[in-house]
Amino acid sequence: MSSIVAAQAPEVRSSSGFRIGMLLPGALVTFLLILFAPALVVFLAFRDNDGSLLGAGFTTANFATVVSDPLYWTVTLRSLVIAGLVTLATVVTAYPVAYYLAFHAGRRRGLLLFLVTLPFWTSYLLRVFAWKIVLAYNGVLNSALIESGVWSEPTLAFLNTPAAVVVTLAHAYAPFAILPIYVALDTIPKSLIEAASDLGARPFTSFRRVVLPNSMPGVLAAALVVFVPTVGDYVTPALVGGPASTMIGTLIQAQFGKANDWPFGAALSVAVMLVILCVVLVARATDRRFGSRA
Amino acid sequence: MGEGGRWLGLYVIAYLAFLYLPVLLIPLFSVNNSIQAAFPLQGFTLQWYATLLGNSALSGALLNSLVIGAIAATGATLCGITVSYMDLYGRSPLSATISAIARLPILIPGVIVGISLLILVNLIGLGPSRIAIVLGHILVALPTTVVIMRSRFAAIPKTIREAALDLGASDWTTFRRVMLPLSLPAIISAFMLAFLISFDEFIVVFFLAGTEPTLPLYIWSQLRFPKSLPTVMALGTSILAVSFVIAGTAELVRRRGLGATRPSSNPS
Amino acid sequence: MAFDLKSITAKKACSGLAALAIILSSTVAFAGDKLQYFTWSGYELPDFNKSFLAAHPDGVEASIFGDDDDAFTKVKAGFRPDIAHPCYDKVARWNKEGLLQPIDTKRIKNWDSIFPVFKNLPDLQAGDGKVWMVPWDWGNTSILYRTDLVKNPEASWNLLWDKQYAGRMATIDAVHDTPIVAALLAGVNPFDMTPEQMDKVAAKLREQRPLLSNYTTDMTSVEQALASGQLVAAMTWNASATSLKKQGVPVEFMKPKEGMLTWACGFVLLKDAKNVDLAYDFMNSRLDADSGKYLIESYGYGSSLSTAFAGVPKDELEKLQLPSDPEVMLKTTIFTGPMKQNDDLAKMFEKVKAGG
Repeated sequence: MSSIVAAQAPEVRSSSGFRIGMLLPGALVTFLLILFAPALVVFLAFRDNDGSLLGAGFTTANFATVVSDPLYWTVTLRSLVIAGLVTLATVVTAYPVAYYLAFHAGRRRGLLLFLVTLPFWTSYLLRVFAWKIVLAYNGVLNSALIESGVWSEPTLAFLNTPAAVVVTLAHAYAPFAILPIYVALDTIPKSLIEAASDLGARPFTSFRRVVLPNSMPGVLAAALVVFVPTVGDYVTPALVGGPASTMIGTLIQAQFGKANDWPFGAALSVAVMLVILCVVLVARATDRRFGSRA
Repeated sequence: MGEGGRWLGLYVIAYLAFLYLPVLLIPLFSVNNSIQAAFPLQGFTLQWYATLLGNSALSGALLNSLVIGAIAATGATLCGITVSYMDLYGRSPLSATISAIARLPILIPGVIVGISLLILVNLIGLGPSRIAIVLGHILVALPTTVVIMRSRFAAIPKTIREAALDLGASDWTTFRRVMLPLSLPAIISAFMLAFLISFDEFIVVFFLAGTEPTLPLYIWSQLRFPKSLPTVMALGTSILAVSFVIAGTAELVRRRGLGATRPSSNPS
Repeated sequence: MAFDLKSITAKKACSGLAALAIILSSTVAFAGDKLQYFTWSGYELPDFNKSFLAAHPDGVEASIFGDDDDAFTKVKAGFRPDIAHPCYDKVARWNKEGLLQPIDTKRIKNWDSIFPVFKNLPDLQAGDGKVWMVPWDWGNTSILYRTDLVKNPEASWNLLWDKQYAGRMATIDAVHDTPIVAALLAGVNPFDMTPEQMDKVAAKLREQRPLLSNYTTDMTSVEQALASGQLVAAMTWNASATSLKKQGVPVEFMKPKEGMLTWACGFVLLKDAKNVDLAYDFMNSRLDADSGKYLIESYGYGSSLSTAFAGVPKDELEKLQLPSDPEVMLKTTIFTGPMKQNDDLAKMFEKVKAGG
């Protein structure tokens, strides 16, 4: 019924109704949830904490504290280092897998792609929790090392360290890194690589001069996809990190929980978003540099 | 090249082992007859699975997660379809902007998504609740559905849509009777993955949950409770199994969809 | 194009959405008839309110909080349970925000059996035979240590500052536990301090941080780590001592010379509670002597009811290090009362934990 009416109606009218109907859900979600809600965070960051929802009076004291207190620099730096290490580890270990997928997997490619991305869809909480079992004092790693005679006493050195956070996060975000790199590698024209070898380039030279630069956009995309969620994480440090690996996400969460100072938590969030923005800009600049080569 | 390929193949196997081994410990300890999750194993038991049945707090959390997942996935898929369709065919700066913004949440850490929605739902008087979680999960799943739907719409040859319009079909009819059916596998796949994202999500839920915990929140609360650790493992195993099945089905559906239109999607 | 074109008409999609909406709203309505109970993990056990469940099968839905500061923030942020379970030191704070409504003691049938020491707590009094909180449980916070790994320690909180056990100790991540102890050791009144005194407490906490394996309220990990020997000593509550002793782990719950901490918690009725009658039924059921007895025997916590203690054998109480009269206990311990600088202490504690 409605389609008949629509078909008979003047083209322009049906088209504008269609446009509005089609734009509405996306517009609502993007403007309300993705633009307005974070804007509230920015607003709150400039308010004074009086215990009420949106605070009272405008102030820049929150940001003054964030900037002037060395603690927040330390914790932000620590988060950047941990997230940076995680990103480096995931990207470096994922690259050969993506390379294999793109150039060697052949008929097994579909299955491999599926196997590699499958853990991505399992509970992140459970994946972190699994590492707790591995790294525990009487856990899998310790008992395996004792069993194999590497040492006789279990070591405390695994759990509750920043290293545990890095390993756990690198494992949890591994599947994120493979796909973008694989897509980038897969779109490199085979003729380009063949041309390089025809011109006498040794395999490693053609990899370094042709494949690697051409896959850089994928590598950067992978790095971003891993870096952003890890830099704000608070669950992994809480479960496997110990006091020495408090990250900025932990501090933000605490301001909205125990410490009960939402405006200050909002200011910390704004600071984190600015840091992420810087990282994104650097990544884009790097991308452009490689982009011009491709 | 062959030699290098073989070494690379071994590396991939080792990588997969690294990826799967820690996760597989959860099923292993879920059938271990001990409260402690440690080696050596203490013998086989199914008692922890038995305690899962008839646990009303658990089934309540499960129902919650299912309902929230279904609604959030519906919302996210609907938005994913319309946003990417308008991005590709709407030819307006607004639709392109919306599409770009819709993929932005990838660049926002979960903790910030959580707090910004917490402020929002309090401002509009909703408070932490199921609806708040649904909103949060639509936001978190949106980039995935947009990316999937956008790549699917882009793979449908332009000529098909143009032919329909030339034959006098309205925009709406073309969308509903040509483009949607053609992208049905992608829609199903997007829905399932959005559902999984919601079902497993913890960081955002932590801020937005009201009286009704979701399954990950239930697990989190049980982790504090020593005696229920093996039960959590049994629950975790069940969730892993279901997640694997859903993700596997989503992948199969998506691939079958690609196969079905591949012959016709030969760009000129 | 072998697809059935009509299979996903807008109408069908809408009816699907509508069905989902009905499911959602029905579960919402269903939840509305249940008592919403907001409590500590492990306190939602059905055995604590058997008579309530007999009268209202499936009549309570519990939500869990990590500690009652988290709970406070969540309730302030618009979360609306009917009844919550904070500890005494937080009651004035909840009250100040206007979150509570007075509870009529006439409707609490076992009110007279509650120990006077709890009934008469100042922050409870709402006047006119009404109270802000009905006391239910009390217990101690102290150091639980492995007797085989820590040989004859001095009975003092200083053990948690002892460098020879660096990396093998944990403490509770809550303002009303670790900072109070740090204040005691720094010679500061934990419940009211000047900013200079708070700096002293912060210094004491900073001194402890590098020695700790973890700050946590996750007693699963702490108990497991003590059992495995990963930790040799940790700040815990009675329940962990009871649980590990039952498992045969060689542990002792210390009686520090500075005093254990004693806390009391109970039920508060929230201002916007929808199920007030159910809430009274629930509190009355929890104040059955049997419920209190179960609390004592399974967790090793004290009940607020003298009648509950009457049902537990003397030697069992001795094993649990629990005197049948809390007033005896309170003569040697520090009672966790309201902390005037709770918010400032919380912020300071968060900073110290992060390394500042």
